[in-house]
Amino acid sequence: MSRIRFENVYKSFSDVKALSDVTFEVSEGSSTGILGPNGSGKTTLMKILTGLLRPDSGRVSVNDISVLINPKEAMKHVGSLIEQPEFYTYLSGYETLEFACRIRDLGKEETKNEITRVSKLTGCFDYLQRRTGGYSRGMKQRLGLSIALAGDPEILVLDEPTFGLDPKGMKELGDLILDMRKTKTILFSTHLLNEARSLCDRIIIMENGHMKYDSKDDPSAKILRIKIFGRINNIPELSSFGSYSLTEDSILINKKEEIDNYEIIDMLVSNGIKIDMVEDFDTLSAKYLAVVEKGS
Amino acid sequence: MASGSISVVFTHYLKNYYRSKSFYLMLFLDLLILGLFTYFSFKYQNKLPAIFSALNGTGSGAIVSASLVRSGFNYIWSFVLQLLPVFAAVFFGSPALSSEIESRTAFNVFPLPVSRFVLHLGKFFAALTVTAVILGIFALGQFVNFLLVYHLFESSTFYISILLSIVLAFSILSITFLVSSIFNKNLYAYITVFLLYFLIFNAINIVFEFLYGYTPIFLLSNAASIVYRVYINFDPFSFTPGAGSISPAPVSSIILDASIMFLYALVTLALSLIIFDRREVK
Repeated sequence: MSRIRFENVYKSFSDVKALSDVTFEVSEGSSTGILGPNGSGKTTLMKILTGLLRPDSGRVSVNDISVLINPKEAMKHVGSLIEQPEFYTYLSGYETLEFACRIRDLGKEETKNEITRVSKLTGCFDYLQRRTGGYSRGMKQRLGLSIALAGDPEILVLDEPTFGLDPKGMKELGDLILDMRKTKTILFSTHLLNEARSLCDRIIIMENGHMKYDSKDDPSAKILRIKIFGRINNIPELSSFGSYSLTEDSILINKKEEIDNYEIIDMLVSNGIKIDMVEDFDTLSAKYLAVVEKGS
Repeated sequence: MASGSISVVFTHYLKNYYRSKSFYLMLFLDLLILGLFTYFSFKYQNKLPAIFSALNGTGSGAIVSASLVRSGFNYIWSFVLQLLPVFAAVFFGSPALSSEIESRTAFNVFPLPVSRFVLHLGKFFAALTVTAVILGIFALGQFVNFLLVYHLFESSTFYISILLSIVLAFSILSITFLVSSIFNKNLYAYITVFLLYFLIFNAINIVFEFLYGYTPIFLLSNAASIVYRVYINFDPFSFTPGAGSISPAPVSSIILDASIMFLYALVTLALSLIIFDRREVK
Protein backbone atom coordinates (compact mmCIF):
# COMPACT_ATOMS: atom_id res chain seq x y z
CA MET A 1 0.00 0.00 0.00
CA SER A 2 1.21 3.51 -0.81
CA ARG A 3 1.25 5.67 2.25
CA ILE A 4 2.34 8.89 0.56
CA ARG A 5 1.59 9.83 -3.02
CA PHE A 6 2.70 12.84 -5.06
CA GLU A 7 1.11 13.08 -8.51
CA ASN A 8 2.31 15.63 -11.06
CA VAL A 9 2.98 18.26 -8.43
CA TYR A 10 4.03 21.71 -9.59
CA LYS A 11 4.87 24.66 -7.41
CA SER A 12 6.43 28.00 -8.19
CA PHE A 13 7.24 31.16 -6.26
CA SER A 14 6.97 34.16 -8.59
CA ASP A 15 9.33 33.24 -11.41
CA VAL A 16 11.11 30.44 -9.59
CA LYS A 17 9.90 26.93 -10.28
CA ALA A 18 10.29 25.15 -6.96
CA LEU A 19 8.77 21.84 -8.08
CA SER A 20 8.15 20.55 -11.60
CA ASP A 21 6.07 17.47 -12.29
CA VAL A 22 7.05 15.61 -9.16
CA THR A 23 5.48 12.15 -9.05
CA PHE A 24 6.36 9.36 -6.67
CA GLU A 25 4.89 7.10 -4.06
CA VAL A 26 6.23 6.00 -0.73
CA SER A 27 5.12 2.53 0.25
CA GLU A 28 4.21 1.36 3.71
CA GLY A 29 7.10 0.61 6.03
CA SER A 30 9.76 2.16 3.85
CA SER A 31 12.26 4.85 4.63
CA THR A 32 12.73 7.26 1.76
CA GLY A 33 15.31 9.99 1.73
CA ILE A 34 15.01 13.12 -0.39
CA LEU A 35 18.50 14.23 -1.17
CA GLY A 36 19.48 17.42 -2.88
CA PRO A 37 21.44 20.65 -2.60
CA ASN A 38 19.96 23.80 -1.05
CA GLY A 39 17.10 25.14 -3.16
CA SER A 40 16.46 21.82 -4.88
CA GLY A 41 12.83 21.69 -3.66
CA LYS A 42 13.16 19.25 -0.75
CA THR A 43 11.58 21.50 1.87
CA THR A 44 8.89 22.70 -0.55
CA LEU A 45 7.94 19.07 -1.06
CA MET A 46 7.74 18.50 2.70
CA LYS A 47 5.74 21.67 3.22
CA ILE A 48 3.21 20.69 0.57
CA LEU A 49 2.86 17.26 2.15
CA THR A 50 2.14 18.80 5.55
CA GLY A 51 -0.27 21.45 4.26
CA LEU A 52 2.01 24.43 4.86
CA LEU A 53 2.07 25.18 1.13
CA ARG A 54 -0.43 24.49 -1.65
CA PRO A 55 0.77 23.15 -4.96
CA ASP A 56 -0.05 25.09 -8.12
CA SER A 57 -1.32 21.82 -9.56
CA GLY A 58 -1.18 18.13 -8.88
CA ARG A 59 -2.36 15.87 -6.11
CA VAL A 60 -0.84 14.94 -2.78
CA SER A 61 -2.31 12.27 -0.55
CA VAL A 62 -1.58 10.41 2.65
CA ASN A 63 -3.19 6.99 3.02
CA ASP A 64 -5.34 7.97 0.03
CA ILE A 65 -6.63 11.05 1.87
CA SER A 66 -6.03 14.27 -0.03
CA VAL A 67 -3.88 16.70 1.88
CA LEU A 68 -5.44 19.57 -0.04
CA ILE A 69 -9.08 18.60 0.44
CA ASN A 70 -8.98 17.12 3.92
CA PRO A 71 -5.76 18.25 5.60
CA LYS A 72 -6.94 17.61 9.15
CA GLU A 73 -7.83 13.99 8.44
CA ALA A 74 -4.62 13.44 6.47
CA MET A 75 -2.45 14.90 9.22
CA LYS A 76 -3.87 12.48 11.79
CA HIS A 77 -1.57 9.92 10.16
CA VAL A 78 1.46 12.17 9.93
CA GLY A 79 3.98 13.43 12.43
CA SER A 80 6.30 16.08 11.05
CA LEU A 81 9.38 18.10 11.76
CA ILE A 82 9.70 20.88 9.21
CA GLU A 83 12.71 23.20 8.99
CA GLN A 84 14.09 24.36 12.32
CA PRO A 85 11.10 24.46 14.64
CA GLU A 86 10.32 27.32 17.01
CA PHE A 87 7.86 27.26 19.88
CA TYR A 88 5.79 29.63 21.99
CA THR A 89 8.50 30.99 24.21
CA TYR A 90 6.38 31.44 27.35
CA LEU A 91 5.34 27.80 27.43
CA SER A 92 7.38 24.89 28.70
CA GLY A 93 8.43 21.93 26.60
CA TYR A 94 5.92 19.86 28.56
CA GLU A 95 3.06 22.22 27.73
CA THR A 96 4.10 22.30 24.08
CA LEU A 97 4.04 18.52 23.89
CA GLU A 98 0.82 18.38 25.87
CA PHE A 99 -0.82 20.57 23.23
CA ALA A 100 0.29 18.25 20.41
CA CYS A 101 -1.02 15.20 22.30
CA ARG A 102 -4.37 16.78 23.17
CA ILE A 103 -4.85 17.90 19.57
CA ARG A 104 -4.39 14.24 18.63
CA ASP A 105 -7.30 13.42 20.94
CA LEU A 106 -5.27 11.76 23.68
CA GLY A 107 -6.85 11.79 27.14
CA LYS A 108 -5.14 13.41 30.13
CA GLU A 109 -3.55 10.21 31.45
CA GLU A 110 -2.57 9.06 27.94
CA THR A 111 -1.03 12.46 27.28
CA LYS A 112 1.09 12.20 30.41
CA ASN A 113 2.38 8.76 29.44
CA GLU A 114 2.94 9.78 25.82
CA ILE A 115 4.94 12.85 26.83
CA THR A 116 7.18 10.68 28.98
CA ARG A 117 7.57 8.09 26.21
CA VAL A 118 8.47 10.44 23.36
CA SER A 119 10.62 12.79 25.42
CA LYS A 120 12.69 9.86 26.67
CA LEU A 121 13.01 8.56 23.11
CA THR A 122 14.31 11.88 21.82
CA GLY A 123 16.30 12.80 24.90
CA CYS A 124 14.47 15.97 25.92
CA PHE A 125 12.81 14.59 29.07
CA ASP A 126 15.20 16.32 31.47
CA TYR A 127 14.42 19.85 30.35
CA LEU A 128 10.71 19.54 29.61
CA GLN A 129 9.70 21.76 32.54
CA ARG A 130 11.78 24.69 31.27
CA ARG A 131 10.26 27.35 29.06
CA THR A 132 11.13 26.83 25.40
CA GLY A 133 12.36 30.43 25.12
CA GLY A 134 15.59 29.27 26.78
CA TYR A 135 16.15 26.20 24.61
CA SER A 136 19.25 25.76 22.44
CA ARG A 137 18.96 24.81 18.77
CA GLY A 138 19.58 21.14 19.54
CA MET A 139 17.01 21.11 22.36
CA LYS A 140 14.43 22.65 20.04
CA GLN A 141 15.20 20.04 17.42
CA ARG A 142 14.64 17.24 19.94
CA LEU A 143 11.41 18.81 21.14
CA GLY A 144 10.29 19.20 17.51
CA LEU A 145 10.98 15.52 16.94
CA SER A 146 9.00 14.68 20.08
CA ILE A 147 6.02 16.56 18.66
CA ALA A 148 6.39 14.59 15.43
CA LEU A 149 6.33 11.32 17.38
CA ALA A 150 3.53 12.31 19.78
CA GLY A 151 0.43 10.22 19.30
CA ASP A 152 2.45 7.55 17.47
CA PRO A 153 1.49 8.49 13.88
CA GLU A 154 2.31 5.82 11.31
CA ILE A 155 4.02 8.25 8.91
CA LEU A 156 6.94 10.52 9.77
CA VAL A 157 7.93 13.49 7.63
CA LEU A 158 11.29 14.83 8.73
CA ASP A 159 12.94 17.79 7.08
CA GLU A 160 16.66 17.76 7.85
CA PRO A 161 16.03 16.28 11.31
CA THR A 162 19.66 16.28 12.41
CA PHE A 163 20.11 20.00 11.77
CA GLY A 164 21.60 21.74 14.80
CA LEU A 165 22.48 18.54 16.62
CA ASP A 166 25.97 17.75 17.84
CA PRO A 167 27.63 14.53 16.59
CA LYS A 168 26.33 12.58 19.58
CA GLY A 169 22.84 13.87 18.96
CA MET A 170 23.10 13.03 15.26
CA LYS A 171 24.12 9.49 16.12
CA GLU A 172 21.29 9.10 18.64
CA LEU A 173 18.74 10.46 16.20
CA GLY A 174 20.09 8.21 13.43
CA ASP A 175 19.69 5.19 15.70
CA LEU A 176 16.18 6.30 16.58
CA ILE A 177 15.20 6.63 12.92
CA LEU A 178 16.72 3.22 12.17
CA ASP A 179 14.67 1.79 14.99
CA MET A 180 11.48 3.49 13.80
CA ARG A 181 11.99 2.15 10.29
CA LYS A 182 10.67 -1.19 11.52
CA THR A 183 7.22 0.18 12.31
CA LYS A 184 6.79 3.45 10.44
CA THR A 185 6.83 4.91 6.98
CA ILE A 186 9.44 7.62 6.88
CA LEU A 187 10.06 10.38 4.37
CA PHE A 188 12.93 12.61 5.20
CA SER A 189 15.05 15.18 3.51
CA THR A 190 18.72 15.80 3.93
CA HIS A 191 21.67 17.20 2.08
CA LEU A 192 24.03 14.79 3.84
CA LEU A 193 24.90 11.83 1.64
CA ASN A 194 26.03 9.58 4.45
CA GLU A 195 22.89 10.25 6.44
CA ALA A 196 20.70 9.33 3.49
CA ARG A 197 22.75 6.24 2.77
CA SER A 198 22.67 4.91 6.30
CA LEU A 199 19.06 5.71 7.16
CA CYS A 200 17.12 5.09 3.95
CA ASP A 201 16.21 2.09 1.92
CA ARG A 202 15.32 4.35 -0.99
CA ILE A 203 16.86 7.59 -2.13
CA ILE A 204 15.42 10.25 -4.39
CA ILE A 205 17.74 12.97 -5.62
CA MET A 206 16.21 16.33 -6.45
CA GLU A 207 17.69 19.23 -8.29
CA ASN A 208 16.04 22.49 -9.34
CA GLY A 209 12.62 21.14 -8.44
CA HIS A 210 12.95 18.02 -10.60
CA MET A 211 13.31 14.42 -9.50
CA LYS A 212 16.61 13.43 -11.04
CA TYR A 213 17.22 10.02 -9.59
CA ASP A 214 15.23 7.36 -7.79
CA SER A 215 17.13 4.42 -6.38
CA LYS A 216 13.94 2.38 -6.82
CA ASP A 217 14.49 2.45 -10.58
CA ASP A 218 18.20 1.68 -10.30
CA PRO A 219 19.02 -2.04 -9.97
CA SER A 220 22.58 -1.32 -8.91
CA ALA A 221 21.31 0.63 -5.93
CA LYS A 222 20.18 -2.55 -4.25
CA ILE A 223 23.62 -4.15 -4.14
CA LEU A 224 25.00 -4.13 -0.65
CA ARG A 225 28.66 -4.53 0.17
CA ILE A 226 29.44 -6.08 3.55
CA LYS A 227 33.10 -5.97 4.43
CA ILE A 228 34.06 -8.50 7.09
CA PHE A 229 36.94 -9.16 9.41
CA GLY A 230 38.83 -12.41 9.00
CA ARG A 231 38.30 -15.27 6.57
CA ILE A 232 35.51 -15.16 4.03
CA ASN A 233 35.12 -18.92 3.57
CA ASN A 234 32.70 -19.63 6.42
CA ILE A 235 29.85 -17.48 5.20
CA PRO A 236 26.39 -18.97 5.81
CA GLU A 237 23.80 -19.43 3.07
CA LEU A 238 22.40 -16.02 2.09
CA SER A 239 20.30 -16.82 -0.95
CA SER A 240 17.05 -16.17 0.92
CA PHE A 241 18.07 -12.48 0.91
CA GLY A 242 18.96 -12.39 -2.81
CA SER A 243 21.77 -13.45 -5.13
CA TYR A 244 25.26 -12.90 -3.75
CA SER A 245 28.92 -13.26 -4.53
CA LEU A 246 32.09 -13.18 -2.47
CA THR A 247 35.23 -11.13 -3.03
CA GLU A 248 38.47 -11.29 -1.08
CA ASP A 249 37.14 -9.46 1.98
CA SER A 250 33.51 -8.68 1.20
CA ILE A 251 30.10 -10.07 0.41
CA LEU A 252 28.21 -8.41 -2.46
CA ILE A 253 24.53 -9.12 -2.19
CA ASN A 254 21.84 -8.01 -4.63
CA LYS A 255 19.13 -8.04 -2.04
CA LYS A 256 15.46 -8.59 -2.68
CA GLU A 257 13.08 -5.61 -2.57
CA GLU A 258 11.52 -6.46 0.79
CA ILE A 259 14.78 -7.21 2.59
CA ASP A 260 16.12 -4.64 4.97
CA ASN A 261 19.86 -4.28 5.59
CA TYR A 262 19.63 -5.03 9.26
CA GLU A 263 18.03 -8.46 8.59
CA ILE A 264 21.15 -9.54 6.71
CA ILE A 265 23.44 -8.02 9.32
CA ASP A 266 21.55 -9.72 12.17
CA MET A 267 21.89 -13.08 10.41
CA LEU A 268 25.63 -12.67 9.84
CA VAL A 269 26.30 -11.50 13.38
CA SER A 270 24.28 -14.38 14.84
CA ASN A 271 26.55 -16.72 12.81
CA GLY A 272 29.60 -15.22 14.41
CA ILE A 273 30.69 -13.10 11.46
CA LYS A 274 32.44 -9.89 12.46
CA ILE A 275 31.39 -7.01 10.24
CA ASP A 276 33.80 -4.22 9.45
CA MET A 277 31.60 -2.03 7.24
CA VAL A 278 28.28 -2.04 5.38
CA GLU A 279 27.72 0.18 2.37
CA ASP A 280 25.80 0.42 -0.85
CA PHE A 281 28.01 -1.04 -3.52
CA ASP A 282 27.31 1.69 -5.99
CA THR A 283 28.77 5.05 -5.10
CA LEU A 284 25.81 7.24 -4.35
CA SER A 285 28.04 10.26 -3.99
CA ALA A 286 29.21 9.86 -7.59
CA LYS A 287 25.60 9.64 -8.74
CA TYR A 288 24.63 12.65 -6.64
CA LEU A 289 27.48 14.75 -7.98
CA ALA A 290 26.70 13.64 -11.52
CA VAL A 291 23.07 14.70 -11.16
CA VAL A 292 23.91 18.02 -9.56
CA GLU A 293 26.74 18.87 -11.95
CA LYS A 294 24.63 17.91 -14.96
CA GLY A 295 21.92 20.21 -13.69
CA SER A 296 24.24 23.14 -13.18
CA MET B 1 -14.60 17.17 18.06
CA ALA B 2 -14.25 20.83 17.05
CA SER B 3 -15.47 22.26 20.37
CA GLY B 4 -13.02 20.00 22.24
CA SER B 5 -10.19 21.12 19.98
CA ILE B 6 -11.16 24.77 20.41
CA SER B 7 -10.98 24.41 24.19
CA VAL B 8 -7.51 22.77 23.88
CA VAL B 9 -6.31 25.54 21.55
CA PHE B 10 -7.92 28.23 23.71
CA THR B 11 -6.24 26.97 26.90
CA HIS B 12 -2.88 26.67 25.16
CA TYR B 13 -2.92 30.21 23.80
CA LEU B 14 -4.42 31.67 26.97
CA LYS B 15 -1.42 30.37 28.95
CA ASN B 16 0.92 31.88 26.40
CA TYR B 17 -0.91 35.21 26.52
CA TYR B 18 -1.08 35.70 30.27
CA ARG B 19 2.59 34.83 30.66
CA SER B 20 3.67 37.20 27.89
CA LYS B 21 5.43 40.53 28.32
CA SER B 22 2.59 42.17 26.36
CA PHE B 23 0.11 41.13 29.02
CA TYR B 24 2.19 42.44 31.89
CA LEU B 25 2.90 45.68 30.06
CA MET B 26 -0.81 46.15 29.39
CA LEU B 27 -1.59 45.26 33.00
CA PHE B 28 0.94 47.83 34.18
CA LEU B 29 -0.64 50.52 31.98
CA ASP B 30 -4.08 49.48 33.18
CA LEU B 31 -3.08 49.77 36.83
CA LEU B 32 -1.21 53.03 36.21
CA ILE B 33 -4.27 54.66 34.63
CA LEU B 34 -6.44 53.19 37.35
CA GLY B 35 -4.16 54.69 40.00
CA LEU B 36 -4.18 58.11 38.34
CA PHE B 37 -7.94 58.11 37.94
CA THR B 38 -8.42 57.04 41.54
CA TYR B 39 -6.18 59.90 42.66
CA PHE B 40 -7.99 62.48 40.53
CA SER B 41 -11.41 61.10 41.45
CA PHE B 42 -10.80 61.79 45.11
CA LYS B 43 -8.86 65.01 44.58
CA TYR B 44 -11.38 66.65 42.24
CA GLN B 45 -14.67 65.04 43.29
CA ASN B 46 -15.91 68.36 44.72
CA LYS B 47 -15.04 70.25 41.54
CA LEU B 48 -17.09 68.02 39.21
CA PRO B 49 -20.37 69.99 39.72
CA ALA B 50 -18.66 73.22 38.66
CA ILE B 51 -17.08 71.60 35.64
CA PHE B 52 -20.38 70.16 34.48
CA SER B 53 -22.35 73.31 35.05
CA ALA B 54 -19.78 75.08 32.84
CA LEU B 55 -20.14 72.44 30.18
CA ASN B 56 -23.90 72.69 30.49
CA GLY B 57 -23.68 76.36 29.63
CA THR B 58 -25.19 77.45 32.94
CA GLY B 59 -22.04 79.08 34.29
CA SER B 60 -19.64 77.81 36.86
CA GLY B 61 -21.79 78.93 39.77
CA ALA B 62 -24.92 77.17 38.60
CA ILE B 63 -26.22 74.07 40.32
CA VAL B 64 -26.31 70.83 38.39
CA SER B 65 -28.14 67.74 39.47
CA ALA B 66 -26.37 65.09 41.52
CA SER B 67 -27.28 62.45 38.97
CA LEU B 68 -25.59 64.46 36.18
CA VAL B 69 -22.46 64.74 38.28
CA ARG B 70 -22.46 60.99 38.85
CA SER B 71 -22.99 60.46 35.13
CA GLY B 72 -20.14 62.82 34.49
CA PHE B 73 -17.91 60.83 36.81
CA ASN B 74 -18.72 57.62 34.95
CA TYR B 75 -18.44 59.39 31.58
CA ILE B 76 -14.81 60.30 32.30
CA TRP B 77 -13.94 56.81 33.54
CA SER B 78 -15.71 55.17 30.58
CA PHE B 79 -13.80 57.34 28.18
CA VAL B 80 -10.75 55.31 29.18
CA LEU B 81 -12.79 52.13 29.11
CA GLN B 82 -13.42 52.88 25.45
CA LEU B 83 -9.71 53.30 24.71
CA LEU B 84 -8.47 50.28 26.63
CA PRO B 85 -9.90 47.66 24.22
CA VAL B 86 -8.11 49.40 21.35
CA PHE B 87 -4.71 49.23 23.04
CA ALA B 88 -5.28 45.74 24.45
CA ALA B 89 -6.48 44.43 21.10
CA VAL B 90 -3.47 45.93 19.35
CA PHE B 91 -1.15 44.34 21.92
CA PHE B 92 -2.77 40.93 21.80
CA GLY B 93 -4.32 40.78 18.35
CA SER B 94 -1.86 42.42 15.99
CA PRO B 95 0.86 39.79 16.34
CA ALA B 96 -1.60 36.92 16.80
CA LEU B 97 -1.35 35.42 13.33
CA SER B 98 1.63 37.22 11.80
CA SER B 99 3.84 35.98 14.64
CA GLU B 100 3.13 32.38 13.61
CA ILE B 101 5.00 33.16 10.41
CA GLU B 102 7.57 35.60 11.79
CA SER B 103 8.46 33.43 14.80
CA ARG B 104 8.21 30.24 12.73
CA THR B 105 5.87 28.54 15.21
CA ALA B 106 3.63 27.72 12.24
CA PHE B 107 6.06 24.97 11.21
CA ASN B 108 5.12 22.81 14.16
CA VAL B 109 1.56 23.99 14.81
CA PHE B 110 -0.04 24.06 11.34
CA PRO B 111 0.84 20.45 10.39
CA LEU B 112 -0.96 19.14 13.49
CA PRO B 113 -4.35 17.54 12.83
CA VAL B 114 -6.31 20.63 13.72
CA SER B 115 -8.08 22.94 11.29
CA ARG B 116 -6.87 26.49 10.83
CA PHE B 117 -10.43 27.56 11.64
CA VAL B 118 -10.12 26.03 15.13
CA LEU B 119 -6.61 27.44 15.62
CA HIS B 120 -7.81 30.91 14.66
CA LEU B 121 -10.93 30.86 16.83
CA GLY B 122 -9.09 29.35 19.82
CA LYS B 123 -6.47 32.06 19.64
CA PHE B 124 -9.09 34.76 19.06
CA PHE B 125 -11.06 33.83 22.18
CA ALA B 126 -7.85 33.61 24.21
CA ALA B 127 -6.96 37.17 23.10
CA LEU B 128 -10.51 38.32 23.84
CA THR B 129 -10.29 36.80 27.32
CA VAL B 130 -7.07 38.58 28.26
CA THR B 131 -8.48 41.82 26.82
CA ALA B 132 -11.60 41.31 28.95
CA VAL B 133 -9.40 40.77 32.02
CA ILE B 134 -7.71 44.14 31.40
CA LEU B 135 -11.13 45.79 30.95
CA GLY B 136 -12.51 43.99 33.97
CA ILE B 137 -9.76 45.28 36.26
CA PHE B 138 -10.39 48.85 35.16
CA ALA B 139 -14.16 48.44 35.44
CA LEU B 140 -13.76 47.05 38.94
CA GLY B 141 -11.68 50.12 39.77
CA GLN B 142 -14.43 52.34 38.41
CA PHE B 143 -17.04 50.46 40.46
CA VAL B 144 -15.05 50.73 43.70
CA ASN B 145 -14.23 54.42 43.18
CA PHE B 146 -17.89 55.21 42.49
CA LEU B 147 -18.89 53.35 45.62
CA LEU B 148 -16.32 55.15 47.76
CA VAL B 149 -16.96 58.62 46.35
CA TYR B 150 -20.78 58.55 46.22
CA HIS B 151 -21.54 55.71 48.65
CA LEU B 152 -23.77 54.21 45.98
CA PHE B 153 -23.70 51.11 43.85
CA GLU B 154 -23.49 51.62 40.10
CA SER B 155 -26.71 51.73 38.11
CA SER B 156 -27.57 49.43 35.18
CA THR B 157 -25.96 51.95 32.79
CA PHE B 158 -22.57 50.95 34.20
CA TYR B 159 -23.13 47.32 33.20
CA ILE B 160 -24.36 48.34 29.75
CA SER B 161 -21.20 50.39 29.30
CA ILE B 162 -19.03 47.41 30.34
CA LEU B 163 -20.91 45.15 27.95
CA LEU B 164 -20.45 47.64 25.12
CA SER B 165 -16.72 47.85 25.84
CA ILE B 166 -16.57 44.04 25.49
CA VAL B 167 -18.41 44.30 22.17
CA LEU B 168 -15.89 46.95 21.13
CA ALA B 169 -13.03 44.63 22.16
CA PHE B 170 -14.60 41.86 20.10
CA SER B 171 -14.85 44.20 17.15
CA ILE B 172 -11.38 45.74 17.30
CA LEU B 173 -9.80 42.35 17.95
CA SER B 174 -11.46 41.01 14.81
CA ILE B 175 -9.95 43.88 12.85
CA THR B 176 -6.50 43.29 14.34
CA PHE B 177 -6.76 39.57 13.54
CA LEU B 178 -7.67 40.45 9.95
CA VAL B 179 -4.67 42.76 9.64
CA SER B 180 -2.48 40.16 11.32
CA SER B 181 -3.61 37.46 8.89
CA ILE B 182 -2.36 39.56 5.98
CA PHE B 183 1.14 40.38 7.20
CA ASN B 184 4.24 38.28 7.85
CA LYS B 185 5.73 40.83 10.25
CA ASN B 186 4.26 41.80 13.60
CA LEU B 187 5.47 45.38 13.33
CA TYR B 188 3.51 45.97 10.12
CA ALA B 189 0.38 44.64 11.82
CA TYR B 190 0.87 46.93 14.87
CA ILE B 191 1.43 50.02 12.74
CA THR B 192 -1.46 49.28 10.37
CA VAL B 193 -4.00 48.85 13.18
CA PHE B 194 -2.87 52.05 14.92
CA LEU B 195 -2.94 54.00 11.66
CA LEU B 196 -6.33 52.60 10.76
CA TYR B 197 -7.98 53.37 14.07
CA PHE B 198 -6.36 56.63 15.07
CA LEU B 199 -5.55 58.20 11.73
CA ILE B 200 -7.65 56.83 8.90
CA PHE B 201 -10.94 56.59 10.81
CA ASN B 202 -10.41 60.09 12.24
CA ALA B 203 -9.46 61.49 8.84
CA ILE B 204 -12.65 60.10 7.31
CA ASN B 205 -14.59 61.50 10.26
CA ILE B 206 -13.13 64.98 9.77
CA VAL B 207 -13.76 64.93 6.03
CA PHE B 208 -17.39 63.95 6.50
CA GLU B 209 -18.04 66.41 9.32
CA PHE B 210 -16.41 69.43 7.68
CA LEU B 211 -17.42 68.82 4.09
CA TYR B 212 -20.85 67.33 4.56
CA GLY B 213 -21.78 68.37 8.12
CA TYR B 214 -22.57 64.75 8.80
CA THR B 215 -21.15 62.45 11.48
CA PRO B 216 -20.27 59.14 9.82
CA ILE B 217 -21.91 56.78 12.26
CA PHE B 218 -20.65 53.79 10.31
CA LEU B 219 -17.07 54.37 11.52
CA LEU B 220 -16.01 52.03 14.32
CA SER B 221 -14.32 54.86 16.20
CA ASN B 222 -17.64 56.73 16.30
CA ALA B 223 -19.68 53.69 17.23
CA ALA B 224 -17.15 52.98 20.00
CA SER B 225 -18.02 56.30 21.70
CA ILE B 226 -21.29 54.70 22.83
CA VAL B 227 -19.26 53.16 25.68
CA TYR B 228 -19.23 56.61 27.38
CA ARG B 229 -22.20 58.17 25.60
CA VAL B 230 -24.50 55.83 27.53
CA TYR B 231 -23.96 58.29 30.41
CA ILE B 232 -23.91 61.60 28.55
CA ASN B 233 -24.67 61.66 24.86
CA PHE B 234 -21.78 63.93 23.94
CA ASP B 235 -18.82 63.04 21.77
CA PRO B 236 -15.88 65.43 22.38
CA PHE B 237 -14.44 64.51 18.97
CA SER B 238 -17.52 65.47 17.01
CA PHE B 239 -17.23 68.70 15.00
CA THR B 240 -20.89 68.86 14.11
CA PRO B 241 -22.36 71.98 15.77
CA GLY B 242 -25.11 71.28 18.28
CA ALA B 243 -24.47 67.58 18.34
CA GLY B 244 -24.89 65.81 21.65
CA SER B 245 -26.69 66.54 24.89
CA ILE B 246 -26.32 65.98 28.60
CA SER B 247 -28.90 63.19 28.48
CA PRO B 248 -27.85 59.58 28.14
CA ALA B 249 -27.75 58.17 24.62
CA PRO B 250 -31.15 56.80 23.62
CA VAL B 251 -31.71 53.04 23.40
CA SER B 252 -31.95 53.28 19.59
CA SER B 253 -28.44 54.78 19.55
CA ILE B 254 -27.10 52.03 21.76
CA ILE B 255 -28.62 49.34 19.53
CA LEU B 256 -27.37 51.03 16.35
CA ASP B 257 -23.80 51.49 17.59
CA ALA B 258 -23.67 47.99 19.06
CA SER B 259 -24.90 46.63 15.72
CA ILE B 260 -22.22 48.56 13.85
CA MET B 261 -19.55 47.15 16.16
CA PHE B 262 -20.95 43.64 15.71
CA LEU B 263 -21.02 44.09 11.95
CA TYR B 264 -17.35 45.11 11.90
CA ALA B 265 -16.56 42.12 14.09
CA LEU B 266 -18.38 39.56 12.01
CA VAL B 267 -17.21 40.78 8.61
CA THR B 268 -13.55 41.14 9.59
CA LEU B 269 -13.54 37.89 11.58
CA ALA B 270 -14.98 36.00 8.60
CA LEU B 271 -12.42 37.57 6.28
CA SER B 272 -9.50 36.78 8.57
CA LEU B 273 -10.71 33.17 8.91
CA ILE B 274 -10.76 32.81 5.12
CA ILE B 275 -7.33 34.42 4.67
CA PHE B 276 -5.77 32.44 7.51
CA ASP B 277 -7.18 29.18 6.18
CA ARG B 278 -5.54 29.79 2.81
CA ARG B 279 -2.33 31.18 4.25
CA GLU B 280 0.87 29.59 2.95
CA VAL B 281 3.96 29.27 5.11
CA LYS B 282 6.96 29.80 2.85
